[in-house]
Amino acid sequence: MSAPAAAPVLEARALERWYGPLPAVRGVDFALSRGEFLTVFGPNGAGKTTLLRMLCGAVRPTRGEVRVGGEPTHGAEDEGWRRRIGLLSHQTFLYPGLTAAENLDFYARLYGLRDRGTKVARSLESVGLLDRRDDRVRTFSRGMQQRLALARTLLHEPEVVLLDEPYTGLDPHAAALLNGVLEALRDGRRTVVLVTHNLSQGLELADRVAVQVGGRWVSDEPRGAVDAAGFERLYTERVAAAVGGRAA
Amino acid sequence: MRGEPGASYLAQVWAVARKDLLLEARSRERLVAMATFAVLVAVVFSFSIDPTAVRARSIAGAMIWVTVLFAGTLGLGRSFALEREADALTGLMVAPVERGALFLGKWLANVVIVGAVEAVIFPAYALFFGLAWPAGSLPALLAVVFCATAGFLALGTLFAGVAAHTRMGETLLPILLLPLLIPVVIFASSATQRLLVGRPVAEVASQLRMLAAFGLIFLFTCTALFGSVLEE
Amino acid sequence: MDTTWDSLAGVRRWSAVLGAAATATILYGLWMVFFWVPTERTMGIVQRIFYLHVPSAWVAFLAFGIVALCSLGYLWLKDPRLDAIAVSAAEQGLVFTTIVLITGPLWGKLAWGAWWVWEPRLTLTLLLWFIYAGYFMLRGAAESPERGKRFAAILGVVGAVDIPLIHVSVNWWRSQHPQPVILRPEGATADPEIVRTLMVWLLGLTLLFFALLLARYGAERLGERVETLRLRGGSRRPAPHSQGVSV
Repeated sequence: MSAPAAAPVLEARALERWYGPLPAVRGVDFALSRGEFLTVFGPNGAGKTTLLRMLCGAVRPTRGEVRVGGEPTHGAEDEGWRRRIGLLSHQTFLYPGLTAAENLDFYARLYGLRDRGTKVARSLESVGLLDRRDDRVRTFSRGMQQRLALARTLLHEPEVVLLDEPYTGLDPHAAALLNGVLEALRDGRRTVVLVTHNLSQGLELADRVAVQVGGRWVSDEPRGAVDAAGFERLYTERVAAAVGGRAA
Repeated sequence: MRGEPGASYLAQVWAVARKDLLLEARSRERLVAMATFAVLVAVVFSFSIDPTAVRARSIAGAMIWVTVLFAGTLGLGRSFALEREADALTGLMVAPVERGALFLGKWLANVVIVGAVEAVIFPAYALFFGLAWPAGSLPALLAVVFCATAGFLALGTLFAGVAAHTRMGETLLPILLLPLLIPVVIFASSATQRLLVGRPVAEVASQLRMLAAFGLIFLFTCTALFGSVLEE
Repeated sequence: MDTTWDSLAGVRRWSAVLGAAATATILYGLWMVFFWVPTERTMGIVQRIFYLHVPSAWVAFLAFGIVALCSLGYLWLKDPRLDAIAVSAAEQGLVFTTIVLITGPLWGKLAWGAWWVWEPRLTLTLLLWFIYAGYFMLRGAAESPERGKRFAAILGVVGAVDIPLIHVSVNWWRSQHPQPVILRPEGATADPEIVRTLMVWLLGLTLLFFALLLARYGAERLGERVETLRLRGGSRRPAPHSQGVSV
């Protein structure tokens, strides 16, 4: 059942995406093994979201490929790899007109889960929303919606969890709560990719830190090699250098 | 850890349709808007027709189908607005759902909702214009209504998805749809009209065949093309 | 997208060659219409508009066929060149359906006594015109140029599937209604001179269509390059049309 630790769970090979004449992601390469947590920092417009959307199969790469469990995802006959991935964005992907339980039940049906009732209840409990299960999502606060979105992401127990600016719009309390759940994701079984422009979040959780500017990775280091205090200065320098280099 | 077999194609279609119907059952906004609009159109028709010049009974088929298409188009625009509210469409694209199943699910929900509106339109016209279909023609009428609606909404659902991703949004929908729907207009109104005036059911067989063919062709074509609407 | 671009010199050369041939053919055709071909007996002088009307209809449908094929190809292969051909053909289609819709009633007023008659082919052309119009509206209104191309291609394919169905239904609809007594053009005895003039025009307009198609295709491709250079060059200036780059 358990793959050898060395086998990468999620891989990007020379990944590129162009929108017409403009590059969004250029030549991104990485391989993550089971349990690894990667954080990709980058300024607005660096192509982070596009990168994440290619990883989860919502956007088609112009060149290169994504592999999940060693198998290329694009053009795969069997869409089973999609069940191994969960995406959490700052958009919740929820239907405000449905209740919390109905939203999760809908996704449980799409993912073809057995025992939907129990799984939905357990999932609601894990994010502390069980008592609001029959309330419509429209009545939820932003923080509660984001927690429900997190429950939706993890409902089918994905091995790979992709997080796209999950802190957007959260107050410090809700952000701390989210941090707690993300911390719990680091159980050694899940592979996580977090993209954000916010240096204060995501650095502590990461095993590996990359910086993306103008679609390219300008740095990719293990967390140990990065000095938390000096990272901000380092990041600013690298972004400035990369942007300057492009303009020249 | 992963013993889940995944949802079958039909289960996916049903999950999507069920979700749309549940949302509609909650808000009833599309249903109410479409039905009210349809009845209003019937009222407007009755004011705009000169009863000394033309008998409503001889143009009822045309009026009914114009109403169905306009009211249906009005509600179709919302079909994808639901998905874009919190970007749920992206959630669907990431999920292991066949694009075709997604389309058929939304189509099915639209057929049920527009079917409910038609269940208001026909009695409303019967009431306002004193129409009565012969009892024996009812199964044929239902078949005509179903086939015409199926074809209309195959194109309608596809282009509602397209229009949702444009700046003009729902304004564009009737402009794209109406020229393509001419076959539905022609065959459905003529069949409805003939059944109304009590012509034998066999006389609408060719119209019914054409409507069924139109429905099948576009259900197939649009299911195949829907992936191109979504992909990025 | 590569920085090395295929040369458009060939496209321009062929466009010029075809354009010259088209001009010569159409000038010859004009001479035939005004000085050579005899006046058709039953319809009189107004029949001469047919030399423009019928070949325009042919070109309009040819354009639609090209739009449909290239649209299908574009959805399949995502090659921007196919989209450039499709949009160029659609533009010609819009122009030539417009010519058909103007010349048809001009003739109809004199032959049928009415500006507009729901003659099946004229009706089909009218619907085709609406589909072409929708094609351009859709392209312009899409959230990003890439989406616009894809959506227009979808309409191109759906339209191609629908046109035969519309044709069948309009014919059927006509057969159900009493027809006004009209002089059918094909009912008239076709003199060899008339047939020959029509053939010259058919050739002339087809050549013109391909000349314009190539010229338009070249312009479309050139426009894309200008856009590319503009977007890449001005990294300090904000790009006003950078929709589609949702990063």
